[in-house]
Amino acid sequence: MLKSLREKNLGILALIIAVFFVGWLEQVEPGGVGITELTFGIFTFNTVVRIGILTIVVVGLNILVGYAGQVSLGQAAFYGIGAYVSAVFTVQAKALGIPEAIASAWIWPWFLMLLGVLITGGFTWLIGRPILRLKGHYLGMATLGLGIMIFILFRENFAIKPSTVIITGGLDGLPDVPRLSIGSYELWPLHRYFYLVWFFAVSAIIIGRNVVNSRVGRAMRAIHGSEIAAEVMGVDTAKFKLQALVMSTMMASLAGSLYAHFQAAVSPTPFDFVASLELVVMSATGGVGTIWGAPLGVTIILGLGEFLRANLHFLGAGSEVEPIVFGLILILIMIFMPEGIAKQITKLFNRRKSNQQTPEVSA
Amino acid sequence: MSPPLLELNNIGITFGGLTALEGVNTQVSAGQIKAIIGPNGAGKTTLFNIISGIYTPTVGEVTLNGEIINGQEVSGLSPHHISEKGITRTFQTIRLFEGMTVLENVMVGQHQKTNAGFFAAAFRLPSALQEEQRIEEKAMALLEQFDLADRAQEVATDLPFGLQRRVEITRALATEPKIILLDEPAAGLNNTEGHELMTFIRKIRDSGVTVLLVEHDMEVVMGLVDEVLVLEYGRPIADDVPTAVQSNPEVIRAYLGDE
Amino acid sequence: MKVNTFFKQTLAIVILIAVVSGALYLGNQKNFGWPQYTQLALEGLRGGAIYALIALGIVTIYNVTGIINFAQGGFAMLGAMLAVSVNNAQQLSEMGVGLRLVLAFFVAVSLTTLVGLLIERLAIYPARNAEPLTQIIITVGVFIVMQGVAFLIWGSDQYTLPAFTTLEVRDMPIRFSGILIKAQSFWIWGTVAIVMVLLYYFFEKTMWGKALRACAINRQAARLMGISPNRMSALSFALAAALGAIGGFVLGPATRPSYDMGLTLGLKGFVAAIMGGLVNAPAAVLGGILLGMIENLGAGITKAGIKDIFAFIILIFVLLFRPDGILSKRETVEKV
Repeated sequence: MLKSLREKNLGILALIIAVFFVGWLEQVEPGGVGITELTFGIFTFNTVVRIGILTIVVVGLNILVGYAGQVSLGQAAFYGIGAYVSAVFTVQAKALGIPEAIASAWIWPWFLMLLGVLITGGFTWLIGRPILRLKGHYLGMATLGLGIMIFILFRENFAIKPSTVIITGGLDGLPDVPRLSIGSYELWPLHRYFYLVWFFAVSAIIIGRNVVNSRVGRAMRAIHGSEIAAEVMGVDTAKFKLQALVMSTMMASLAGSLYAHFQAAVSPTPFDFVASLELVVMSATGGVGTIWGAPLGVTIILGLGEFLRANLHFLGAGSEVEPIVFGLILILIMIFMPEGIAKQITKLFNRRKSNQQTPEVSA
Repeated sequence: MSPPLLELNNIGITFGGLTALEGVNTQVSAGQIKAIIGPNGAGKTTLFNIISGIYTPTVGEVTLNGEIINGQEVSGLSPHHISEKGITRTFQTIRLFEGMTVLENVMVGQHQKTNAGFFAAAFRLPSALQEEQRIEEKAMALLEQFDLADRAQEVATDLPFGLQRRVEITRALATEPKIILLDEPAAGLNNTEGHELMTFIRKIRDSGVTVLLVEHDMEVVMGLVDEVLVLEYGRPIADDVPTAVQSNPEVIRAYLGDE
Repeated sequence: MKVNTFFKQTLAIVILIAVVSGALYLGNQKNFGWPQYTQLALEGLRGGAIYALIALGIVTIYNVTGIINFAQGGFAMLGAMLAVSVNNAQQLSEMGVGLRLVLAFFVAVSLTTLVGLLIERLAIYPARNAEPLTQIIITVGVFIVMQGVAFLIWGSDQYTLPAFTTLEVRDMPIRFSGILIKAQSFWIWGTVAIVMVLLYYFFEKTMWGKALRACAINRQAARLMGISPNRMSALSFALAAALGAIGGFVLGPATRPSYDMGLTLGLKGFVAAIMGGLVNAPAAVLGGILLGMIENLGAGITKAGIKDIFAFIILIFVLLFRPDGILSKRETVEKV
C-alpha cells in the first residue's frame, strides 16, 4: 500500500515537472521550438491551458461516475454556474448595484470564485439526495434534464427589474470579464495564467487521488460495486453518493470560474448538453475509475478535436467533417475500449508483468 | 435458555397484493446457530431482507435486544443503521465489491468503526492515516484468522468461488456484528468446500457471533445448527431443534410433497 | 415507508397546486381566456403527437435491448430532410407535388429504416454486452455522426416542405370560434393515430410483433422459444427508425426542417417515454401528448424562449415522484 502510494507520488512529481517544462518551453522557445512545434501543431499553449481547466472538471466527474458509479449527464451546467457567477458579478457589477470599490478590488473575483463553488455545492447538496435515489438511466436522464434547465437560464434574456440590463447577456453572453490578479500582480499574459490553472489542476488530481484512496473513496467504490452490499456493511450510501456529487460539482464550478477569466468572456454554448456529454466522453475515454484517466481523457479528446480541425483541411474537406470523425472515433473507443484508455494501458502493463512472472506462479 | 437476541414478531410482507410472508414469529438467542430452511420460494431470502432492513415488513416488527429495529412504526432506518446496530449479512449471489482487493473489501466492513471524513481524506490528515493503518491491521488480522491472508492483495472477484464466499463472510465479520445472516452459504460449493464451510461457521460462532443462516437443503445443516425454522409458502410450519423438526409430519410433507 | 410516501404525495400535490395556480395567475395577467388556452393546448398537441411517435421508438428499443437510444431524434431529422431532398429534386420537378410527397414519404421512411438497421449492426450490436453508460455514449456518438453527415449534405439551411392539404408552403388555417388550427395538424394527428393502430396490430397479431414482445418480456425465454434476440434487436432499431422518420415527415411542413432539429425532438421524446415509465408504449404516447400541451401552455403564459425548460421540469418531477411513470400503480418497497 505504501509502496503504491509512493509510485503515485512519482506520477504527481512527473506531472509537476512536465508543467514547469511546458511553461519554460513556452517562455523561452529554445531554438524556436515551443509546445506547438513539439506536438506537431496539435497542442497550442492555449490548448494546454484548456486541458488544465477541463482536467479539474473531469477529475470530479471521474470520482462521481468512475468511483461512486453515479452518472451525471449535466456536468457542464455546473461548470457554467462557476463561469457565470464569476462573469455576472464582475461585468454586471454596476447594474447589480455592487459598489465600485468592492467590484474593482483584486480580491473580488477570487471571492466570486469561492462564492460560485459554494453556490454550486449548496445547490447540489439541496437537490442531490432525491435525485441520487434514482439509478442508471433514470439518474442520467434527471441530471441531463437538470443540466438543460440550467443552460436555458444562462441563455435566456432575463432582465433585472427595474433596469433593462440582461443579466446573463442571453445568447451573446458577457464580454470583458476581467483577468485575475494577486494585489497588483496580474495573472496574465497566458503563461502566468497557465501556472495558476495547472496549480489548481494538480491540486485537483492530488485531492482526488487522496480521496479515492481513503475510507471515503473505499465507501464510494463499494457503492459502485453493490449498493445493497455497501449498505449492509454499514455504509450510508445516500451520504457518500451526495458527497461525490457535491465534490464533483464544486470542482466543475471552480473550473468554470477559471474558464471565465481565461476567455475573458462567457457565452452559453460551452455549457450546453453537448458539452456535458463531451465531459462524460472525456472521462470515459481516459478511463472511469482512475484519477489519471482525467488529464489523459481530456488531452486525448481535446487533442483529437484540434488535430481534426487542423488536418482535415489537407484531406480536402472543411471543418464540417470534424464532428463525424469525432463521433466515429468515439463509437470505436466505446466498442473496443469501454473501460477507457488508462485502464487499457494498465492492463497491458500488468499482462506483460504477469507474463514475465508466469514460470514462478503455480495456479 | 438465554433471552432472545433477535426476535421476529408476526412478520408479514406483501408485494403488490401478493403475500410473500405471513405470521412469522421466531427468536434467536445469543451464541446460537440457527437455520431457516424451506423449499425454493418459501420466503427465506425475503425474511433476510427484512431483518437486514432492505425491506420494511407490511406488518409486525423485528427487535434486537428488545429494541424495535424494523417495522411500520420505525421509519428512516436504513440497512446501514441496522448494520451499525449489529446485524450484517451475506448474499445468495455473492456481492463482493468489483475491482477491489480482498483486503479493501474487508476494510469496507470496518467502515462504521472509522470516521475520517471528506476533508481528512482529501488532505491526508494524520488522524485519517492512523485510522487507515489501524483498520488495515485489523482487516489483515481477520484475514489471517480465516486463512485468507495470502490472498489479501488479489482482486476479490477473481478468486475461486469458494474463496469468494469466505471473503464475503469475512467482510461481514469485519463490521463486528452481533448477528451474521448467511444466505445459502453452501450453495455452489463441492463436498470438501462444504465441510470446510461448516468448520468455518462454527469458528464464527465460537468467536462470539450469533449465526442465522438460510439453506434449502435440510441435510446440510442438521449437524451444525441448534435450532431450525421451517418456512413453506411464506408461513412458518416448524420452529424447533433439528431432531424434532426432522420428525415433524408437516415438514416431511412439505419436503416430500415438493419433490 | 408509509410516512415517507405520505410526505411525498403531499409535497407533490402542493407543488402541483402551486404550479397550476401560478400558471393561471400569469395567464390572467396576459388576459388569457378559454380560447387562448385551447389554442395553446391544441398547438401543443401537434408537437406532442410527434413526441409520442419518438417516445414509441425509444420505448420499443428499450424494451427489446435495454438501451436508451439517444439517436432517436436523429431518425426524425433524417426523415424530414430526406423528404425535403426528394421534394426539391430537379429530376422530379415534372411530377405533381402530391405524387412527389408520396414518393418522398416512401424514400424517407425506407432509407431511414435502412440507416437504423445499419446503426444497429455496426455500432450497437458489437457493444450489446457493454455497460449501460457505454451504450448511451455509443448512441450519442451515433447521433453526432448522423447530425454531422446531415450537415455535410444539407448544410445549416432551414428548408420547407409543402403542406399536405394545400400542397404549398403556406398551409390552410381552419377556424373554430376564435381558435385557429393549421390543416397540417390534422395530418399529424391522423398519422399518429394510424401508426398507433398499425403498431397495435403489429404487436398483437403478427409473428414478428409477438416475437418482439416475447423478447421484451424475457430475453432468455424468448431465445429458448427459438426467437433470436439479436435479430429482434435489429428489428427494434428498424422499427424505431421508421417511426422516427414518419414523425419527421409529417412534422416537416409544420416546421422548418434543418440538420439540427433532431436533438430537441429526441430529448422531448425521452421525457415523454420516461413520463410513460420507459416500458409502457400507450403511457408513453399519453406522456408525449401531455408534454406537448403543457410545454406550449407554459411557454404561452411565460415566454417562448424558455419553452424547453418545461419538459425538463416535468422530467425531474416525474422521476422524483413517479419514477415508474405517470400511470403506474406500483409502489417501490426497496430502500436502497
